[in-house]
Amino acid sequence: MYKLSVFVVAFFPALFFAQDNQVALTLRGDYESSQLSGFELNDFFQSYNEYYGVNMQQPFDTVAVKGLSHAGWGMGMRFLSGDNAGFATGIFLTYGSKSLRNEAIFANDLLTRTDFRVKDYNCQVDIGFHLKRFLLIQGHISARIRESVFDLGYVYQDGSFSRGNEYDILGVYKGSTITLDVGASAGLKLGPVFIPVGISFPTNMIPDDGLSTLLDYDITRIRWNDLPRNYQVWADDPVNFDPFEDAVRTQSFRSVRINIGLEIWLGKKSSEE
Amino acid sequence: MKKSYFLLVAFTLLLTSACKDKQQVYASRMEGVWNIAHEEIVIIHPDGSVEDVSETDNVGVLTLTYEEGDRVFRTYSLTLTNSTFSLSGLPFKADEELKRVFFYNFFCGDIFGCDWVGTIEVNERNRQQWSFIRRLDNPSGADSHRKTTWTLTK
Repeated sequence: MYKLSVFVVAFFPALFFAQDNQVALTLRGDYESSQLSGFELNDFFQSYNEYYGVNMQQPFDTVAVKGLSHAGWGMGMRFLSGDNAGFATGIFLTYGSKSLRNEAIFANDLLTRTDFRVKDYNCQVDIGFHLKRFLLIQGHISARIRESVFDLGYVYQDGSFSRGNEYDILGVYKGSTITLDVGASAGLKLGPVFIPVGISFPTNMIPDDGLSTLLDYDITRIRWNDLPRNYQVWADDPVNFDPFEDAVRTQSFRSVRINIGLEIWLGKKSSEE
Repeated sequence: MKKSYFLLVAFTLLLTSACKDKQQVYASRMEGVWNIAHEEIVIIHPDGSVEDVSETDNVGVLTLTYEEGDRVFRTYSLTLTNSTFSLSGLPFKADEELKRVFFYNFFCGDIFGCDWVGTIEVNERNRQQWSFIRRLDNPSGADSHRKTTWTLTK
């Protein structure tokens, strides 16, 4: 590893500015098919449904395993050395988001509405090689921040919507899931267009030990609620509600993801300038 | 090549400027004197019927002021017309998502010093609409709810 570091530090700038290299600014759009690693949000929905049971005319649906898949966009820089084969690397930032609405209706027509939104920010570094500047095979490491907001309100019988404090469960719950993902990708470059396909796996290199929960936090503590996984304990036995066991943890929003992208490369080979 | 670097720098600056905390922006924008131009109070019954309690124009004035060093809180003072009721020097804020407003140490019908959380229905530079709902206990078990809607103008 030490030798590799020395090689990169010593020779990377030289490679970067050598003839026949290509440095390109890239614009990227992609689709992320992601699979949740945990289902704690569904624990909330299911325990809510169970708690109110016969008093509900329509229970909550649960979130599908791939329910948070979404499109994204971003930009970055890519670098290729050599013509026939050589070093390939790149760094890019992407952003994508997804919203899911869910509703449950009580027998008296009071409606519980949840809006779950995730925003995904990725910073990915690719390192690998290319063949003929046509096929790129790369490994990657990606810092990923998933910001989640779970908005829970009641729609009253006349249609009025509230997120106030008339009921404790109402609120805007937030949390962040930070992971370092690793993976690999392969892509085809056709002129200025590059089509990469990659897979990424979350690692446990930035652990929060399950301490981070979806939280409606207020500095003055008039709102300091964890979104419960176990609604019955939260409602009937709040003294024994353990946020580390009974609340929705943000680590459950980690996901394995497959991305397919489309990049436009803006930049020519050094020798062409 | 220079063009590419210029584009990258421009994009980075754009991203940085877009990341300004909207909660702070809202707090700054809310500073000043707001006229509570309209107040509507209704009771929502479990059967869906709505009972009008009152509808009044120009019910009072809400003043929000900046306290040195406070990032998201503003100090509110509330004076109601045709009433001796007034509150001053108390904290106010919106949540991070600008979905709710928080009045601390408010008066909630029968409790002084209660905290009141309202839903932001309209969020415009010179016009705000907030609704506050309270649960009215009903011995029969079916709760009614009292909804107060304020429309504020600057």
